[in-house]
Amino acid sequence: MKALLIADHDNNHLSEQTAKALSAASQLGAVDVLIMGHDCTEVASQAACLSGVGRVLLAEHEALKHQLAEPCAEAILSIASEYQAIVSAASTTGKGVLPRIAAKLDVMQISEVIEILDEKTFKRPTYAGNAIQTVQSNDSIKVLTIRTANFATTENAPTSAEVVALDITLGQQRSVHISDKVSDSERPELQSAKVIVSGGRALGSQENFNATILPVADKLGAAVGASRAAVDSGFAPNDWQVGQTGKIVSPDLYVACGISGAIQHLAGMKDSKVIVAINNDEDAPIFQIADYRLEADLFEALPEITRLLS
Amino acid sequence: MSNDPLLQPYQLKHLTLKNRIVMTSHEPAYPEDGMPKGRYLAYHAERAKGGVAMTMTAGSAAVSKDSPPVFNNLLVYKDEVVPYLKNLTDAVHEHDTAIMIQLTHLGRRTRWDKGHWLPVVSASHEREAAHRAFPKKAEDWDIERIIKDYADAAERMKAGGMDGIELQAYGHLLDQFWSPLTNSLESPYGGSLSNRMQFTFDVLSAIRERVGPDFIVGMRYTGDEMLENGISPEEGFEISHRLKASGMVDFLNVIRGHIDTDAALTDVIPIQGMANNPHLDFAGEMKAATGMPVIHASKIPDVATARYAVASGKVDLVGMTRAHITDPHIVRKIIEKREEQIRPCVGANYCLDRIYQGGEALCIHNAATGREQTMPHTIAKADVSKKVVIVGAGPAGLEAARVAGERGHHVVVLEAANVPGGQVLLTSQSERRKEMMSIIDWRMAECERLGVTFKFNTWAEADEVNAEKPDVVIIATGGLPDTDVLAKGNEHVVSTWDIISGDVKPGKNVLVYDDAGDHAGLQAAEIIARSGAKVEIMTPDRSFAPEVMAMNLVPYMRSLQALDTTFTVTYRLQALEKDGSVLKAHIGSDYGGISRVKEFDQVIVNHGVIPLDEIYFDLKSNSSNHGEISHDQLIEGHPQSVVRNSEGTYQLFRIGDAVATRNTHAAIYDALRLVKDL
Amino acid sequence: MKALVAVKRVIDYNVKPRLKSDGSGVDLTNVKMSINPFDEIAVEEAIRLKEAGKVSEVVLVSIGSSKSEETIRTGLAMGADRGILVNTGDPAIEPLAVAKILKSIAESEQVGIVIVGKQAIDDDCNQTGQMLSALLDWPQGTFASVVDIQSADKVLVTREIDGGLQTLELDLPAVVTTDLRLNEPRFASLPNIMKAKKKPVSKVSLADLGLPENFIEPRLIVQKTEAPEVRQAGVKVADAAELIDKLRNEAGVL
Repeated sequence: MKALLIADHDNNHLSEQTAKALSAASQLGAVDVLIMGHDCTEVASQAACLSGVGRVLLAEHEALKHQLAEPCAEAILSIASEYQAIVSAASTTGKGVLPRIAAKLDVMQISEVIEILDEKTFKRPTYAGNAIQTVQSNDSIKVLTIRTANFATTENAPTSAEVVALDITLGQQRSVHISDKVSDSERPELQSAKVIVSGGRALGSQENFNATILPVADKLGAAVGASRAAVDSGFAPNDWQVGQTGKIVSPDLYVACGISGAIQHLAGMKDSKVIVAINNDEDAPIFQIADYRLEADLFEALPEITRLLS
Repeated sequence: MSNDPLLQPYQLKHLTLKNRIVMTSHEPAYPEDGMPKGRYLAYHAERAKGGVAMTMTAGSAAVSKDSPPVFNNLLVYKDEVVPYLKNLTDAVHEHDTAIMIQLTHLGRRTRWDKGHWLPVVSASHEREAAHRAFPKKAEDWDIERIIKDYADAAERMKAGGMDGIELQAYGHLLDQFWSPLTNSLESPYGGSLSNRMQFTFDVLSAIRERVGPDFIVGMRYTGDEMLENGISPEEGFEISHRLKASGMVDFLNVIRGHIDTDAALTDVIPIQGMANNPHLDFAGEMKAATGMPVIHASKIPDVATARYAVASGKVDLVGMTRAHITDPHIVRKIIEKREEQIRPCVGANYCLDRIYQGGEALCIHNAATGREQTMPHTIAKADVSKKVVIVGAGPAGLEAARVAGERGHHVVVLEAANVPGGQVLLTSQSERRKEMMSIIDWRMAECERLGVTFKFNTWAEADEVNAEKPDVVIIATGGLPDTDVLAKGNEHVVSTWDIISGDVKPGKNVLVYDDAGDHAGLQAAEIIARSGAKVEIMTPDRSFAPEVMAMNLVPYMRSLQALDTTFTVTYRLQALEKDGSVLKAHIGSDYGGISRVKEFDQVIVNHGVIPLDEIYFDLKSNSSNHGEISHDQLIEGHPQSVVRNSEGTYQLFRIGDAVATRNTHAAIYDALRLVKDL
Repeated sequence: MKALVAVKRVIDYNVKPRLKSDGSGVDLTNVKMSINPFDEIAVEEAIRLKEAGKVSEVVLVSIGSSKSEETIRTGLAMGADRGILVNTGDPAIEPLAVAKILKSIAESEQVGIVIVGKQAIDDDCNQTGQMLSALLDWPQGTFASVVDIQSADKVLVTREIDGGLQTLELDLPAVVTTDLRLNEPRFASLPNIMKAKKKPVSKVSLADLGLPENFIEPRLIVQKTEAPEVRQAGVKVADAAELIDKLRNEAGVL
């Protein structure tokens, strides 16, 4: 089986996600990696170094500079017939492009693959990860996006793969890139955040709250939450409140720091995938629903976590 | 042995308290003829049964005839109170619960036109804003007799079986002497702090002389009036030290603030939308400074906060008073690890607001509180299980579903919207009213536990109901805003629902004509004022928003006054006329002779709701009772048995606003009272 | 221009899904169902565009059993104008089939913009909008957090991408998929629910759309549906280092 892996990159560097998606694609058969972009030969060289790559296909075109879905799909479709699988990491690009391919090829896509059982059988999460489906596809081409968190990365190979420049013709573009805004300072919103670090009454003051909780949240790219007690005590603003009369959240990871675990708070976060509780009271009710418990002084534990994440 | 800090016993002198949760003194206004009779006893006994460590029963029990009751206070200046107290203390002691009582002389915080029409007395002529009585400045024989009155009352309390007493010094006579703002006496009772406290120590000495050194006597007092030139925190600490040093005070029940205006009172006893436990740290400081046993209450409605208050060492005993008004069985639920089933206090403050208007305390969403003699806190199972169909998942419908579920009936609820809540859902769209939704959330959780079936997105017509083959149908469909009050121009009117739901955006120059006087009018006004509009609230009533009452009014007033809202009473909106983009409001008066025109760009009318009763009338003829409810059976607590149609296959009842626009408590009481006998 | 919004009836986001013990899927009997949250956001956006005068009519489509009419009514109660129910019976329909059906309707209704939720919270596929866009040969603006119709021919879409925001200018007609940050859907008041009862919902079959019955047959065979690996409850970690290690390597959330 020949698989085409769509690389994820920024015209300068190949992303970590591609290396992981590659290890998934390699389970299907021989893999060619497609780099679409503009002035991105460097990326092609990086891809060529990865283990398990057959050929690196380089498609450079002005219209591909920002890897918009429509021209990318067009480019992929021009070579898709040579492959039995089209694979991408479930990155923004992958998620945007691959379904277009699937529709044009009149096949179903399998999104967010977490395990490959064989070349036509895959596991994927549904119902926000509460129900794992094992699906089999008999379509002639398998179109897959890979949840890279579930796959190991690929090491470099001793030798480089061949880089082939493709001659790409694209039609008139009906979507134009205007701007990009990199958000390194903006914290995600509570209700859509994947990770939330939350502080409770035990932080003791607004200064402590900001000095202890915020650095951890920054390191994790997390949103910041607070218990009602912390908000009522003035340690955190109202719109950080998680709970029955605050926001209801369900992130992948919820870190509750110095939060005892009032029923009203639990109502707001109990559906989090993984719950971590850091509290020095071993009887705190929050420990009953925590997946991981750290009985420690949060003024020691949190700075330590911040340090280790650096 | 539990590790829970709240469940640890506490030793107060010779008194062992079985856990750390108490009800602080409060007067729900259940006395009859000024005496704690059956209703009073039943209320406290239920909480004792529920496991509370101590109930401190009466707030402000009056020691003197010139401290007449303003919220149906107990008259402990009468010897006849003793046997009633004995019954009460026996009933509470039966459950291993301790019982105390608060004694006071209200000073200026009462009225001269009540009771024996005696002038109110204080340590100055300063009038209290809340009760509006100009006081007599106390002279020597006033002070003497009041000291004796306190001692007499204390002796009665001991004879009545009380485990202790508490004196009130936050807004009453004792601290009217303490505060420089209300004490203009000369020496020995006015001037320096020692002089200002002299009256208190005289009272304490007289009490001790009667009850002895062992009887527990405590003080509930303000350690910081939070008023310029009033008792400062420094003075408050000094007062605390002196109370301790006197050797006559066994515990401190700490308050911060003052209560002589509605707003100040609300800061001492905060309501929904206000921060929890705002004075807990202060109480902790008092405890740390004095080392005395400390009790404290001030919006600590949830178990986690109560646990923290005790575990952190800030207090020894935590008051969860309003929480127990809502749920008498909090402690039992903690012990049985069923905390999530505790009926939550949502801070609606219907209880306190009713008291301060001279009514009795009722909980907005526990209709059995204050009615323990006729309404059940724990619902008994029915003999026969019936199929009950309820139309509407607002507060009335959900209470009916909950009670029917508890009775073991097979319950199906049909709801038109995708979510439950009805008008409670609507009102909780505003940030400050969010806690109201807990009335709905708690019932949904209970209904889930009881196996009630919900069919959302179902606009029930007769067919849907009949398809369920019901034995009983309860219509709880509420109503829709009724804005047709004008002689002309009703088509230009916007309803409060339109504004609160966001369906209609606020104008710029708006008249809110509030002819119902409940939360909807003020809530809409606040949303509009917050959007930057100029708002006038007009009502034909003599005061505005009478249904909202004093403490609930406070957050609205703070918001609306800051936004320059004007309040116009005694004028009636008669008609509206549209002139281009301007609305001409024709205004008159019930007093006659007035005819004015004012211009606005938007007019909101608040006039309650008109019942949504189509389905009720569609089902009426096929029902066995034609919808009739026997009031006698309802009031006496007997099952409804009216038959007007022997061919009828189901009983039909209507509850809540679907009958007539009233309020949330009425809706829930309608449901409880009907369904408990179903 | 007309806006077409697709709405799906899914398990309510507050309900924890229970799996059938025979591995055949999620048990939906008596479970509360609601409009897919991302679709609710899509309806809200379309209504806002109408309120801003950019869109003349908001048409809702739902594909599924007759119960999907509830979902359309929810959208009508928010302020959409009319609905189309494509009755395909009970079985789940894949995004590929949905996209084909939506294409047929988008073309016959001659809409200027299609707004759909980025994914349904039951299958979590995140494909329908993109597939529809490809089948129509229209540009797409996925994971939109801002939709700004500039003229009859152009729309600016700001989208959430890994590490930030990207703004694109798309030719209309286009397909937009919604992300959480796009808007906060309005409250559907009872008066509006009542008004919605009177708004028209036309019921069509695949045959009415000129589409063959068999094409909604699923391409993927779901062999089984199982619960995720249950982590040992309450694992105690000794220190920060162990916590980070477990979160990274055991839980896979870092």
